[in-house]
Amino acid sequence: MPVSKFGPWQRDLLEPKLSVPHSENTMQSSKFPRFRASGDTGLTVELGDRVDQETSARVLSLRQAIESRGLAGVVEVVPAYLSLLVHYTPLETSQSCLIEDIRALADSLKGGAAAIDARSWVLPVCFDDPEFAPDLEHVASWAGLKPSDVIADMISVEQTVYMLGFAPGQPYLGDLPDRLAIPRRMDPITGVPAGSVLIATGKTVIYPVQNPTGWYIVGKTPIPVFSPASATPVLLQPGDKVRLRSVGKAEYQDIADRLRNGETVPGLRAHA
Amino acid sequence: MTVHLQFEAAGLMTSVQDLGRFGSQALGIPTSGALDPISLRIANVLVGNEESAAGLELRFLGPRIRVVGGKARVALIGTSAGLEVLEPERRALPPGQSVTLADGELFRVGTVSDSSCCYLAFAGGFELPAPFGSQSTYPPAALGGFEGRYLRDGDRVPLSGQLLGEAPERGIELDLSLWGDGPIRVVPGPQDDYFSENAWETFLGSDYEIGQASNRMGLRLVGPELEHTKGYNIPSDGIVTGSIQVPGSGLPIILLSDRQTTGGYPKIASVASVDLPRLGRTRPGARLSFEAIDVETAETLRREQEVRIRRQIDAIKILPAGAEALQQRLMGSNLISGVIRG
Repeated sequence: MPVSKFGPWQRDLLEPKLSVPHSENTMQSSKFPRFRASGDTGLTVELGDRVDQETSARVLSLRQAIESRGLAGVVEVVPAYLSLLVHYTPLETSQSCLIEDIRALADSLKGGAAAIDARSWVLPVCFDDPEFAPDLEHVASWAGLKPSDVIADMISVEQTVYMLGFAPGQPYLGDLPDRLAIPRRMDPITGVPAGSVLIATGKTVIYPVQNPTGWYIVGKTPIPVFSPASATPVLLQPGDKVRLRSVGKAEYQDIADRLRNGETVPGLRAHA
Repeated sequence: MTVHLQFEAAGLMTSVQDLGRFGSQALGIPTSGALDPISLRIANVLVGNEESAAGLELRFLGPRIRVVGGKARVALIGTSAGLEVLEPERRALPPGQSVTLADGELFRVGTVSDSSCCYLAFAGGFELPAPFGSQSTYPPAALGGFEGRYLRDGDRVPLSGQLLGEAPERGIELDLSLWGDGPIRVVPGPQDDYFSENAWETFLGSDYEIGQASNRMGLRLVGPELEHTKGYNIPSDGIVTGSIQVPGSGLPIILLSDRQTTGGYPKIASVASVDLPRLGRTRPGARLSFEAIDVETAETLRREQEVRIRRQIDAIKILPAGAEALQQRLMGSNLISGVIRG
């Protein structure tokens, strides 16, 4: 197989990226938005190189701007930590047209990210059961804290839904206090039950369905983040604010029973 | 009474699929959908459906199905394996056209050896819910299709029952060059800068085999490892069908219809959409090589392919009554082996 397929235009794509180190001094405005091809059906638009609330706000507000503009050929827009992915059909538009339109939209937002429609939630989590929180001790000892300090940290912050992914309705929340930013496991574990609350790298996820994980299980919520039979199957949306509330096993069980009987659980929304 | 498909044998991994569940990926909902959308579209047109209707995706070993409660019009596309009626009377049905089966008839599709998948469309489609706007089955979340899962022996799947009147059968002479051949074309990125130039040359200069652990979520490639330059973890970002992610093992995985919506491994390239239907058909053990093209070329190839698909669909002919009987006689005497040509 000849290697001459590696054409000169590819080198153009590669070399600048390989030779330019990530420079923290560069003005954000000159580097971003940065466009990268995800084939001929996706355009990745990068809006920063640090995972933080500020980048996330730019991602979510550009997503909202693209969706409300109704650009021809755009199928949907998926937000992530640093970027959004614009899914499109090349039968109705082209990546070069989209880049032009999206650059203009991003420029128009430079004065300040538009507020996005966000909701606030308070979700009950049971931390005090070893079966629900098998890794709480480990996380505490990694951080040099008592388990009760870990819980106090987790309920002290209002987290934001950066994105959903990995499984239907699965939220990625952040940020936790720095001292809880434990790295992911070396070896993933399997069979983590739905409802589990997991942390790693300063983020929190809530499992909608049973799945493997490389994160640490520190609690469990009775509130399903994905319920396919419901009229609103996905509980949280990107940009939503979430506070965790520590509940005992009895209250956990009571809420779970109520949900099973089709009753509503009051107090989930901070501002109804 | 509703017409049902009674699955006397479900086949290997038979599922309901349409062209995909788009619009909810931001909520983490995968698109799913047919691995080979071209075949599903053509099968649908043959039975008089919208191209986007759901059909049955058959994989490797087809099902044995009894039509219960009325007639059903069916078309099979994507394989040269035949459609065969077993009861009450054995007969082979001609490929590449719609046929109408009577109440009580039992039919099957045997071993599919020329593709990983093929499609059975039924006139009127299925009487099934469409969560998030699609009937496609996504088993990991029990979403869509029939009870959110692959079909099992004994399942009874309801058809919508809209069909028939005395509408004529339709047939097509399928041009297999629609799917393309040669190396799989890829567009570099979005994380091509996570790989050494050496990795690029390896990727484009090597043959890869499709591993046995491949499924609707992705094709695991077996071959030379690709070297990362900046580790193999990225802040998760969105992925497309055809994204080629390279985890720590250095062995690429091409993500297909049941892929997750976001991922944390760097993606060296994405398969050009023109080659996705062909890729969806490839079987474990098959060998692939890759060729890099730019986005504009990929977009142009896709548009040209779509024009040719439209031309094929427009060339679908109404068959004269009695054509089936004639073709069966010809097939019986082995004068023709079917209407699919390469």
